[in-house]
Amino acid sequence: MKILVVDDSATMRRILVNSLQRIGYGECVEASDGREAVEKLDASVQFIITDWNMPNMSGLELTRVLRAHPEWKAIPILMVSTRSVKEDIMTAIQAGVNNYIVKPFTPQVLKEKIDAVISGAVAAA
Amino acid sequence: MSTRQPSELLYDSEATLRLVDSAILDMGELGGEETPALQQQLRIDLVAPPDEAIGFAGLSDVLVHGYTEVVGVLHSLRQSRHQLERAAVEKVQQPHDRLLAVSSATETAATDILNGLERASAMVDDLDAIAAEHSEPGDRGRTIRTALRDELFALVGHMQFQDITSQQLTYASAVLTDTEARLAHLARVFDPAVFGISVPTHAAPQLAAAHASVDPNASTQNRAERQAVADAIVATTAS
Repeated sequence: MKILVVDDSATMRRILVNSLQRIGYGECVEASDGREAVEKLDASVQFIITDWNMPNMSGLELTRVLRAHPEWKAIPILMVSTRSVKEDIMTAIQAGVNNYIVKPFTPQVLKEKIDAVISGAVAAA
Repeated sequence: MSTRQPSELLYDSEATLRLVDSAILDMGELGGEETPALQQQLRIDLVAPPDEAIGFAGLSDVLVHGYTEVVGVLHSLRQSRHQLERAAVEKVQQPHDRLLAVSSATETAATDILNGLERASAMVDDLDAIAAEHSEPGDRGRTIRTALRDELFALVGHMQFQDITSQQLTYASAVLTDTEARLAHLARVFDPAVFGISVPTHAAPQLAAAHASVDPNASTQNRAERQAVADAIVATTAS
């Protein structure tokens, strides 16, 4: 499964990619903000992990753009963010993210949420 | 209602007072009678009870005294302006620059540490490969290598602190820039013409941009509790 990792922090992208490889998802493509993510999206990408707070286009905006796009409206999106206020998480879920991880995360939580999103997507299909 | 700036009013007042001062000096020259002793007496008259007659020469001294007071106030205002200038440029700009430098340094250090951790993990893989050539049952080295790999991987995860602290530093830096701009604007009210620093007009957009690109409440604390809140919301929405 090819995963698009979107985060403006190079350190975070590296940690995410490292963690994904460790839990068995070795094929990753990286983007530093929502705008670059839209540019890098193609049919081979099957899953998106995105930060919220980013310049140019935030993860929330990216989610809204993709959910309004006929081709990408069903792509699984997992948000990984430092934002942990209840209202913020509600906003993200309402925008269309499938699951939400609060930073700092553990690889176990990352795997658990990816599995939950994939099984949910399979169940919905 | 007047929309003039306080600084304009102060300058106009100062100019007017200078004209009055000049006129008073002219009048003094015309009179030509005021000795230093008389001038001292007039100054004493200024603090005398109001029911005592001051006279034309006394009025002149009152105006001179008033002028001196206004000049003193203007001097204080200029000093305040310079204090604001120092606060804006030195006390705010320097911490702002330092915060950016610290943020940059932590990012560089984090990259170096991640590089080192990846190299160390690769070395553990090499040890595995070497050990596989000399495989022995109950190899204690394999257990240690596995534990070492887990430790190295855990350290990679801990490097998330850099992203979290970087967000806090970026936000603090944007707040300082905003404070600098507000101080500069305040100083400009005192003296727009003489004030020697350029007023940063980009501060407000910077703070707005910081709000968009960083989380000022980013934290490494209570990870499990905060994740539980997210899980509960996701579960509620899904059901």
